[in-house]
Amino acid sequence: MKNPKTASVWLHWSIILRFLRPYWIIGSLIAVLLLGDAVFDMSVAFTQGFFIDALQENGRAEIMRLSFMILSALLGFILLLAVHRYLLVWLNYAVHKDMSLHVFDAVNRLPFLFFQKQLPGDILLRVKEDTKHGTDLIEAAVEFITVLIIIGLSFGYLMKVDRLLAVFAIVSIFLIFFSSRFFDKRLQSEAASVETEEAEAQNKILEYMNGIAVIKHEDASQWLISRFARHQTVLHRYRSKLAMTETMADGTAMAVFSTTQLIALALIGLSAARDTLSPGMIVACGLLFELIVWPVLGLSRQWSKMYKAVGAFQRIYDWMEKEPSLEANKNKLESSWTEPLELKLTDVSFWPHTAERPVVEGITMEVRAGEIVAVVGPSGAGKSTLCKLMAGLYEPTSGLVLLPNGSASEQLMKENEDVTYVSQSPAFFSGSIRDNMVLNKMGISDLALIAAAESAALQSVIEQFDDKYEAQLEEKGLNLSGGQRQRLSMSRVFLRQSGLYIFDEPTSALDVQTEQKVMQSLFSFLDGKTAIMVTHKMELARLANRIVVMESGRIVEEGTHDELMQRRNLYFKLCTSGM
Amino acid sequence: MELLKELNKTSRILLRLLRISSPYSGWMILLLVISIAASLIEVGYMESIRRIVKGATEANAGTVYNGAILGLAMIVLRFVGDAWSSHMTVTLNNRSVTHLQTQLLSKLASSSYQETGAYHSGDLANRVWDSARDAQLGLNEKMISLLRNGIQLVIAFIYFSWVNITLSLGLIGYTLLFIFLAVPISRWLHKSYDIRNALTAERDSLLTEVIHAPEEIRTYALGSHMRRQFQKKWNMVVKQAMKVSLLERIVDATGRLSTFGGMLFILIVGGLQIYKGQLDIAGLAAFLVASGQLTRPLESIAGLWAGLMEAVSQANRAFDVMDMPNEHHNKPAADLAFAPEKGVVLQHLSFSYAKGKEHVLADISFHACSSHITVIAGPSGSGKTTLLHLLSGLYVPTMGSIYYEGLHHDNLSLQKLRPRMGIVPQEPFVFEGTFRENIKLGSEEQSDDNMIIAAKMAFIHERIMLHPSGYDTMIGSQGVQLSGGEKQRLTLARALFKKPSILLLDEPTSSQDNLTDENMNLALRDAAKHRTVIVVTHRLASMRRADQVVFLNNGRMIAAGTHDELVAKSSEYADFIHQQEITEEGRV
Repeated sequence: MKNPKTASVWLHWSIILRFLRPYWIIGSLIAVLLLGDAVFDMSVAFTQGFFIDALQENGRAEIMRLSFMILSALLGFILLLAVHRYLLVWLNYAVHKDMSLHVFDAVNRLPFLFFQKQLPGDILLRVKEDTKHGTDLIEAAVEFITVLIIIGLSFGYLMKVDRLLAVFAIVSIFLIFFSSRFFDKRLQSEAASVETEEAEAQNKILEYMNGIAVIKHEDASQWLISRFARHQTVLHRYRSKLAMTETMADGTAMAVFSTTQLIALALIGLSAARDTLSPGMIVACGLLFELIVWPVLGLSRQWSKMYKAVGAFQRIYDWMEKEPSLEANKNKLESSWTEPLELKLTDVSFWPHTAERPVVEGITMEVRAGEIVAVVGPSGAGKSTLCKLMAGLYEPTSGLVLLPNGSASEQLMKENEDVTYVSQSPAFFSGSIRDNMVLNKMGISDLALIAAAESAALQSVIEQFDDKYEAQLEEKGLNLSGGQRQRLSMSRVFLRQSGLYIFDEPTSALDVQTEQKVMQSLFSFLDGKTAIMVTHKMELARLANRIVVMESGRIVEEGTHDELMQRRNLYFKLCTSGM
Repeated sequence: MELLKELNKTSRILLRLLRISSPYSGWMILLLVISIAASLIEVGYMESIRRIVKGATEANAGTVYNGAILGLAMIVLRFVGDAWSSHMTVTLNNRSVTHLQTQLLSKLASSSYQETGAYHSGDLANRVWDSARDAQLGLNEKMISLLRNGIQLVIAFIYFSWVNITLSLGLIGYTLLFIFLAVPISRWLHKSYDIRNALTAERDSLLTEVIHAPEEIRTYALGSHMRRQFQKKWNMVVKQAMKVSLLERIVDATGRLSTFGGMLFILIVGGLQIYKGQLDIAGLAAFLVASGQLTRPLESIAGLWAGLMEAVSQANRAFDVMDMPNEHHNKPAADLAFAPEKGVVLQHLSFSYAKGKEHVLADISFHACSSHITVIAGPSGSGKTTLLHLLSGLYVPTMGSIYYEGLHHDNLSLQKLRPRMGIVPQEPFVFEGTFRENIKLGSEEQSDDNMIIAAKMAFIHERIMLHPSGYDTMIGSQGVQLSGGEKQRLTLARALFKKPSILLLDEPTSSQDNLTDENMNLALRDAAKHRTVIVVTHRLASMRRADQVVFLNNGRMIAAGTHDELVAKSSEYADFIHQQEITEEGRV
């Protein structure tokens, strides 16, 4: 609490406590058992001295009885400790799981553009590892409290026996504890650096796995591995630094501990030489001193560990708190749309930081209900970006993208089916073909499923599998051909009723016959519905009610096929080339 | 028997890991020596405490001071030794883990494509990043600690035998008892770790998939759906982890039983000895205070053993990667020279994914001549991409032969073949890095002129020069985002940069507008002047202008020839083209 870093430790704790709340029963049980743990450590020290003194005073039979008592107590304690540990591990996993799920949620709600800017390996690490550091904090705290109890109990007892020793013990505690605090800040920042570099390294490995075919062809493995190794040396530097700081912190504490232990023992020895401490009391005092001071070493380590964990935990803390802001833009809704519109873009521009010029600039257009609009233009004209803006994936830099119920990006966050968007490079999930078609739509009948597959010209493909709809899709759908994957992604559309459909080159990998089939069923499906379709195939574009021609991020032409052909501009050129 | 087998397997894995780390054996031995020296220091410290306690019970101040000075010397030594060994350990860890990881990565690059494809990329990444690290650290730290603790135990035992032989022997008895208890449990533990690791990998695979599908997650509103899936996987991990935890607790408990039982043993037996007059109270007290030195290594060994089992389990996962079958590495039949003018010839080529499975491609024969463009056409799913995979060597033919520029595929090593082939895959792959890095892919020694020529041919040069830093502009998630068409052209530039004599393209213009497509076709025509070019395409114009069209349907070759020949001789092809024309005719 003395400095801002310590304050942030408490800030993190408020999050951890939030995740602990559902498990308060287990938590309090652990707290009780924790007391048992402390008593156990105490009594171990105590019995030894007690026993030695008993040796002098009692007979053999008495000693055997005592041994038996101690043995049964020992067994009981061991059982108790096992239960304690088991519960703690359980609590750790439970909280780790909850945190991980929470970050998972947060990741899925991150603004798309922000998400795109992250390294996949980094996201993976945050959901997987950084949450773990949060739970490490819990374990550290439990340890911390146990140690405090042990110290308190032992100190109380030692006060009765030998005040000088007790005071000395307290002084030692402060010496040990604060000798390591000197390293905390460094530990925290170094741990964070290690974490960042690890994320980068993990990303390189993921990239390697995904590009394995290219790497084979181009014999690029040596180059990429050397790139990986180069990065590893950076990571190593940070890791070494961290390890050395840890050793220094540990070593210092350990040295201080040993020195104070020696001094304490010498003190006991000298006082024993002066007056009459029984041999049993010497052992007990020695062990008690150790019991007070030794845990401080652990305490000090836990504290450092906590700092390290906080350093890493900071990375997910930012995302944990990143809840989507739904309240914005509510009032910007245009009150009077004169005709039934499905989509309205007002002077929309999109200019990401990394680009030298706007990718999309000054787009104003309206899409009426029941209209199908085609978007054409040269490669790199900004068509896909426009699609993403309309789907709400991107937030415009300026201007408004409005759907009937609000801005597109707001609608996206609401997890409804207002807009269906088919991306240029569809993604698939491990699981059956059926899973990949229905996705989250439960209760789709087999009939509807088959109808959708037929509409997407996918039925014949599915028939080839032994398990039909239950056939397992490999990672990224690699057991399907490119065209088949595209049809699978199209089949999803036929299962969804949306106000607006957006297609980004839905048939680029299809042969003309299949495309023909798919388009026929698509257009009859879209009859009366509203859709926007980006395409390079002019024969598809002309089927639309209206065609928008883009170049360099702007709309350069707009109209029906015939109108545009007469103008003999870019559209005409695009149509007539390649014949 | 089974127990021995299990131990045998464990030790085999450890030996293998040791063999792989053999370049670092010097380091490991040095570390072991340091840690033994450290345990000697501990013994010295212990002796100092014993002297103080003994001095105290006997009221002898001289012995007390004597012990204190010895102790202080040991503290200083320990501090220096710890710092040194920690530095050594972290250096060893860094180097040996990277060594293992790079070995795994290069192994993956040379493994059969079908084999790596059978694993989820998230799983593979987990094996390379997590398993390799855990295994290597297990060996470096756990193994060395285990050895050190063993040696420490022996040293402590010798020291204690000197103090009191009966008590020491008794403690050793406990050790043996513990080992007998620990071995069968560790076998279960080993198995449970395997299951838990596999479940964790499965959970991470789902996570990887979700991270790679941000568009679908958002636009299809899959957030809560995927969360449920993720939760399911998590629950399975937790369930297994709790099983593991139970076993771990048993191991812990045995450890404690052994330690504290040992303490009790000292007290009882020592007490009896005192009654017999074989031991004095001071001796027993000193033994007790210092006996931690004997029991602490024991306790550590318990934990370390469990840790080592976990490392073995992780090592096993890494070795699965090591044991993947390699791509076919045929020995080139003595210095056969390529004859580029002969092009690529396929004879009765068939392929199935596994023995006994249906042929995906059957009996394909054609000759792709040099200086010609051969187009592979056919409906979606007819086996075109599989054919390209066979040509590029990713798949190995089940039957039949491919002659690359006069050489049979069995007589060719992939290392010799691949530099001669340029490939543009269907889905372009862009690495995080600059344009330059993405085109050169490590061939840094090649001149920039070549790179620019390739980029110009692929119509990407101007796009690149739009950025002030030109070829040094970063692309990928941290830099400029490229459109689908731009990525395709970039991979074409990458392929052309190699100056290959064979060029394989899988729908290189599927995301191009008509104008760029037209230009790229001209460029291909130009590139084909002294090359063998094989293109998979759906574009009618490309088929019409090709020197040869190979028409596939359902994995069979229907016909081959020029477009006009095919229209004349194959009704299936004529139909295929006819439908295409109907749709495209309407234009203009």
